[in-house]
Amino acid sequence: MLGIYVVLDGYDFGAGIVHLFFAKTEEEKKAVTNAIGPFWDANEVWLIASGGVLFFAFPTLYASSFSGFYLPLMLVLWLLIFRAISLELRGQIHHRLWEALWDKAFGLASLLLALFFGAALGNVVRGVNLGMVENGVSTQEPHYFFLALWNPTFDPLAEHQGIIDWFTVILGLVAVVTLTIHGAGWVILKTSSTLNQRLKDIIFKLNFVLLVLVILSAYVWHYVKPISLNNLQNHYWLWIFPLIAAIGLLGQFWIRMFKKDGTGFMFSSLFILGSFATTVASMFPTLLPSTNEVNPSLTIQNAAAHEYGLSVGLGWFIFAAILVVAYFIIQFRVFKGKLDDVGYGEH
Amino acid sequence: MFMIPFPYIANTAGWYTSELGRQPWLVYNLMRMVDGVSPTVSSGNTLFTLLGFVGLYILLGLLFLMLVLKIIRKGPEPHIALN
Repeated sequence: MLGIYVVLDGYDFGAGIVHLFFAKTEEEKKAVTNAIGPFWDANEVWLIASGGVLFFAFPTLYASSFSGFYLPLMLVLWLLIFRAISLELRGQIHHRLWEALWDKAFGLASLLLALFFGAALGNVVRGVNLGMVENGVSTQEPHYFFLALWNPTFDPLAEHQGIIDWFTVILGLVAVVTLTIHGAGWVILKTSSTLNQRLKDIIFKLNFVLLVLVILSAYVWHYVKPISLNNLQNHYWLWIFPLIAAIGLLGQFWIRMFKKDGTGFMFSSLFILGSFATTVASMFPTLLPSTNEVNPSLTIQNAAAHEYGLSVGLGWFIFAAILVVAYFIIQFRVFKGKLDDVGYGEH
Repeated sequence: MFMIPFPYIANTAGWYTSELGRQPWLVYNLMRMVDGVSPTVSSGNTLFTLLGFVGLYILLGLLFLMLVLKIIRKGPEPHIALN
């Protein structure tokens, strides 16, 4: 579910970044907001839904991670609010300062959100100090922790880590570049403005950056968490996921030659989903690793809810999933094709 | 026109009723409020985020007021007579 959220809301963030840096004229800005206008609200719902499913299915993990990551979660919440209101409020007053303010707010919030989500992934992968162990003694219950925003050395291998250290920042940058490419692909798919040709060049150049960053992140990933390759080495069928991600990444290099506008978007979606699946595959069954030797990591076995609750929830989830898919199809039928004259946010 | 603030007052009063009325229970007869506190989130953190939300909502409230007054000042669309 989280993977679908990243694909969907990811292009909102990417479009926001595109809007800030690359959309020069008023017409281009309108094109970008038109492209994501009818969709972003529903896409955010996937985030909330995945949080809800986390609460119901893995309550220990929910309790642990939401209190340990309290500050960054609040920051993400505020950034989401800011992004949403800047999109809505921009069209209310036709004054240059007002529009410039909300343009910058929209772009900045989107950029920071992409950065934070990448850093969040880095935190989950790197693991946390479960139980707040100091000098070999657990100072809290074994599944609780709290992370400061950063620790004095920005080192992910210290005893008390921070949210922001060089490992999570690298992953945050990967997220920013990935989502910019993704958002640009969506804008190309959904509009036919003068921006599109420039966007294709931008995607091409950014893809080189992304390739370098992905190789770098794979290297530091192995450096910070050497066991992450174990699952992949023991079960060869898991290599399908990095393969999908690689296809998504490398296929994007032909962006300028694609006949159909949606192919670039498809490749970036493949990359995102493939990378997500690779991450999950490398971490399975751990959900939140523990960086100390004293307390065990949170796995799907020890964090899951009771069997009866899970079985009831699965039934309702299937029903809800059918509803969601139906809504999705309706939404895409209604807004099919190019969205040049939607006039989102016009007043 | 003087009725304008009343929906907000009513809404807030309803929330006060439900949240104050539930004390000291978080889950009635099963779990108290004090048991639901996260042990690792300090009161300083909560205060920071509370002030953050208060500030954000004040900002949004002012923006809302400004925009609504602007729309009211603009008046309704001109009425086209049906002949």
